[in-house]
Amino acid sequence: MIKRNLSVFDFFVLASILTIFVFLALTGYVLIYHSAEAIKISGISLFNVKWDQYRGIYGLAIPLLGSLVLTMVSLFFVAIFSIPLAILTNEYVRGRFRRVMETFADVSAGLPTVIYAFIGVAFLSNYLRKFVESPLHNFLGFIPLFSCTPFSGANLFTASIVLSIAMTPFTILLIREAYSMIPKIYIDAAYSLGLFKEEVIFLKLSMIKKAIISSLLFSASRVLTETTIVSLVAGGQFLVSSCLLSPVITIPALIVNNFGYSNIYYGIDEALYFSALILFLISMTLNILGFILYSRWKKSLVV
Amino acid sequence: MKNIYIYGVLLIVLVIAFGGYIYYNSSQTTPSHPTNTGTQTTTSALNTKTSAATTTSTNTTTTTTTFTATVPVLNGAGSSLAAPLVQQWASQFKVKTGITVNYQSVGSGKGQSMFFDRTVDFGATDPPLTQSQYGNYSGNIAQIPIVTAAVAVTYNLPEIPKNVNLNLTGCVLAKIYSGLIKKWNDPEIKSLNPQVANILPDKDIIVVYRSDASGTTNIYTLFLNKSCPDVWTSDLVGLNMRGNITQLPTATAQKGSEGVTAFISSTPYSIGYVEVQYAKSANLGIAALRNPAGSFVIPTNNSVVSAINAVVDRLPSSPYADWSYVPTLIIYVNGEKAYPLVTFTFELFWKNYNDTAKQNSVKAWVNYILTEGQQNLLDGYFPLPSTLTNNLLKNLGWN
Repeated sequence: MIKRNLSVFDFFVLASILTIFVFLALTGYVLIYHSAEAIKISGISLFNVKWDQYRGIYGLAIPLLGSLVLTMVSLFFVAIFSIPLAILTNEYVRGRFRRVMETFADVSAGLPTVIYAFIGVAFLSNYLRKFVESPLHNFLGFIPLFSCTPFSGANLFTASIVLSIAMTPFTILLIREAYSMIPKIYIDAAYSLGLFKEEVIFLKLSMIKKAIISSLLFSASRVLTETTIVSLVAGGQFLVSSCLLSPVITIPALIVNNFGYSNIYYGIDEALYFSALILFLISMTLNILGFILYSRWKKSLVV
Repeated sequence: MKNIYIYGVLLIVLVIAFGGYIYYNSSQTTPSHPTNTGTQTTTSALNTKTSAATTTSTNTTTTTTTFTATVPVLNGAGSSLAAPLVQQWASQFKVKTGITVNYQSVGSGKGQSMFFDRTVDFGATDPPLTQSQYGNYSGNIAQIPIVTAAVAVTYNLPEIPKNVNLNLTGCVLAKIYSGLIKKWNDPEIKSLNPQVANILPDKDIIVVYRSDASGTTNIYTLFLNKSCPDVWTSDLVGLNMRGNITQLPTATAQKGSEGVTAFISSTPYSIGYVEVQYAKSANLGIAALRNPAGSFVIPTNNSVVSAINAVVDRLPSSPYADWSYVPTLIIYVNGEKAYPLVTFTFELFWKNYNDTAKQNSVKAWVNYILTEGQQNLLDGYFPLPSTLTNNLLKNLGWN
């Protein structure tokens, strides 16, 4: 075993890792501690569909369902946007243009989501309603997904589009990372066998399939907990509908709008802590699954 | 590797230098250096008498307030209705006295919570304390109306010319917010607006309301209830919307007045309620509302003052009194020219603060609000009647 002294850098890395774990543990502790209070309050229920703070009834079923459905729909769009864009930047674009595209993706990934939220509320919601949602309803209204009228641009469809635009750069970064890890020897071998470029791309995609799924899982976790975008463009209505064009409420939007009013509405903070705990658990599960998948994929890359 | 350390140290030095520069510049702007006392102590931060005298005297006396090295800070939070005004007052108050007032526009409900938790020194709320809250804190909390404000019913109807104010009644609004009136060309809306009846569009009304607990919602729902109790029952009055509207597919909930204004601005055929100044700054259509006398009135200085004058004799004279009945009194008040959606915004203060400096700062702030503050109002806010401010100052009991 090689012994070496800890450098300043090692110390900071260790301290950062420990801090992250402590914060994670504290978050879990605080959420569990406050959620335990929720059990004592009869109005809080995961399965009730009614939310009436005046009567102390806090049914979390609709926001929870809203969060899950919105995440799934957004993820569908994230996959549609990010995989082709990642292929484009890695396979077809060269030179300066590629560097510009990569830099653009890097910068966009770091932008605060409030920017996307404002773009969504200021103009995207209106244009989407006019040019996408209304035609979808008019021509494909017989499909339950588009059967309801898009009255305003603030609905599940708009929110999922804005969310997917916000999350796509982050997903592209992860896919690009996976792409760069494919051993060059495999690619050379594929070409030497006489495969065409498109066939090699398919081969590469099949090789990084698990990494793509894991990157989508990481994105799902971010979409699930995203607050600003959903509170501005999702509509915030307590509705259950099979239609993508109806307004929806999610747990983060519920928390941001209602937290801190326990002196006015009895038990509301406990209900929100409980909902945050559920969100935390789902988000952690998604992250852990993504991480396991990614680790397994990395191990499978044997040269 | 060595270079990285050098760059790191350089970066830290730069940040410290920049921070120092900013701090130096900000400290230059505060008029807070003793000139004639020479008796600085570490305990008393603010010369109360000088400060109070400055705020109640004429405009010619400025920057004569004496302070010790510690500059007091007051933290407040609450009403988004009052936010633009309080922020303007805070900057003027700082120039005048050196006292910093930080204000967070978090909504009335949150403002009350933060005040009761003692997270902030004062809370700002559109509705006064309820009767039960008043019972709990009776005598310990001063509720001070700081300004008169009006809530506008605002809409985005591209077909209606900007110089036309749509006429609406409380009952029509109650039906719109209950989902009973769905189209802009509904016969009830048409009959109220004969001059634009044939251009009212056959479009769905997109109803916008506040998603957070809000004093504006409280005022608005109280107006709906008082003007149309059959449709908008008393159980629907409160800081949050409840009932049908939260499940209407034509409705949308937006956070804060800023959110409601932005949404209505970008969404044709929408309707909502915001404070007058938000509607004016976004150049949105403002509805003329029918008052109990049968007149359709838009929020102007005259119509708001008329509403206040109609009730001024029935207002409490002490900040320690029960103000809970005041919104019911003032909203939908009977008067030929009175605008029916008028409200006071209140600031809540503890009667006693543990810290003397804090107590003195609070006193100076309240004095400023009820005297000079009433002359320095933004567009969309209206002054309190002088009889009311005089009574409040007299009965505060802070010597």
